[in-house]
Amino acid sequence: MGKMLALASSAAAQTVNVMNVSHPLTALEPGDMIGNMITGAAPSSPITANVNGTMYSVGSTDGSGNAMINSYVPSVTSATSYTEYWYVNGVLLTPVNPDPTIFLYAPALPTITEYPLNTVSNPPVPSVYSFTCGQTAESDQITGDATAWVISPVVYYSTTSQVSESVVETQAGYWSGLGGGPDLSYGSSNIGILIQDGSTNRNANGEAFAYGGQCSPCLGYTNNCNGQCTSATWTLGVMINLNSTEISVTASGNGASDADIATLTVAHELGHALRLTHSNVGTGGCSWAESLMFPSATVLWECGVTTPTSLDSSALSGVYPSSSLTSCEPAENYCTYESCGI
Amino acid sequence: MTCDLKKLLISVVYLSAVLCVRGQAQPVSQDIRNFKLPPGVYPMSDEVMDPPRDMDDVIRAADIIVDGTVITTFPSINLSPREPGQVETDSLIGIRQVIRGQVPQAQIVLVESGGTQGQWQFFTRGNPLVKPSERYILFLYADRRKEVPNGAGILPDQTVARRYVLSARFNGKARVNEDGSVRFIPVAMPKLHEFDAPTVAAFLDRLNQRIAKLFPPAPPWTPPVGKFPSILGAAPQPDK
Repeated sequence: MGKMLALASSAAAQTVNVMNVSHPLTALEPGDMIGNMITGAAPSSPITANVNGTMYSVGSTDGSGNAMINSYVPSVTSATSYTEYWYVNGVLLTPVNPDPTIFLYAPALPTITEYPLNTVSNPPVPSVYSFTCGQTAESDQITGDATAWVISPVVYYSTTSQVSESVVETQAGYWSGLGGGPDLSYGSSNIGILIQDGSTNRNANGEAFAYGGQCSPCLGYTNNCNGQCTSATWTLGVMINLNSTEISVTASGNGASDADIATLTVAHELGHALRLTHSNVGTGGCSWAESLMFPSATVLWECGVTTPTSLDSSALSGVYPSSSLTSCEPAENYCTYESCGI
Repeated sequence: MTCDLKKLLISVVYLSAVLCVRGQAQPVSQDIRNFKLPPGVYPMSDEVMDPPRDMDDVIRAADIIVDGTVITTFPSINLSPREPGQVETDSLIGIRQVIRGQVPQAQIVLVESGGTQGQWQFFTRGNPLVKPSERYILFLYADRRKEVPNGAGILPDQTVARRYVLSARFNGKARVNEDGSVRFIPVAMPKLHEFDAPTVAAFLDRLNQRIAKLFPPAPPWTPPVGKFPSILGAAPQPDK
């Protein structure tokens, strides 16, 4: 409740808001408690609500002009919307809603929607993004797929100030522990994944930039592992940027600490680094958040999904079928920008 | 400055940053220093965090909805001082009509992710940056960053043209084609393409219907006819 009180306190007098009490800032699903909070209205006065054109009495405000009205979401088989206007003493209350540019799935007045529970499996899928480099052609002519790592373990290193080294290691350990994909090993040599503070697209707490072997014809494990050469299909490096500003905004709205959301972001972005994409957002409700690759930090946090799940494990096995990974030492053919004259 | 000196300087700056951030001296190998994006063309992820579920979400997440024409495009700006990880490109848009919200000036600055910086190019597949003379219906929210990149003074001041970002990232961008049809950009979510229309008038007609549905005018107060149900959707008790 604290977060919603904070939202309301900054608004004008005589306000009303709606929230998913069970899972704040996520879409309403059957069984969730809905809370309508009134603040700054006339004290000890009758409350009424016009719901889909019908006016209902809803008790009265307390001696301070505030009230909290709870109801529950029934079982629904399709999305059902209600348009609500609230009054105290016949005076229309001003709706105060969470910022929709940040908390898009939170119920918001005047029209709230209740969604049915998800009944289908909602896993992440392998990445199909290409990372061919050095081309100057039109963007839609880019080809190639840096869809998977080839060598295990993949070494990662963190320079971010937002979470400690040990936190990063713990999150990487969750992914490694799933099996199926490459092992993730912390180190400062032959790095495959770098986690750092940086900028991202708007509203993204983190972002992973990957590149394939073709991006770097000279750098890395060139022609050295079991006769394989680097290629566009071979993920050679991933840079994970963590955006402290966006993380702080998400944390504040969710009543979490910056470190909590930064940790969640590291875990999610490591999934991208292993070449998984997002699962389906569905309705934005908890029943859709079955994977750490669900595309909303808020929903993941509020629904308690903070580590990789069995669906993530299955998806990883799809990206890395058995025997797709090799283990070898890069040794003498490992070279750097300097040695390549870049 | 020679190329080698420049590289040395960049390396020292970056190494210093790493040491400062970590708060103590760390054994940073040459690999850390060299771990950077190689020059090239990079597709940015076309995945969106908190993607819109439908047209209603795109409308709700927009401070303003405008019909505008691209006047000019400014040189791209790199937001990452250490490496070209995040490039954005600004364009000046002349407003033809405001469909929702308030726009104080006759022009705005559209901020888009992507662009070219030196030997690095970033783009989103299916979302080419806007070009001069193109016309769009844009769903936008204000750029709320405290520190707006000034682009070495080449960008218009906020008092001349306010800065806006596409709502729901690239989903808030519908192109008005030369034949007058309106289509959301190819990478936009499929549900938005249901709103593609043969004319601007037809597009706006459907859009305005959704806006009216989402934000109907408040009805006047009338006496209640029943008690608010504890289960929303259940029958209310009659008022006695």
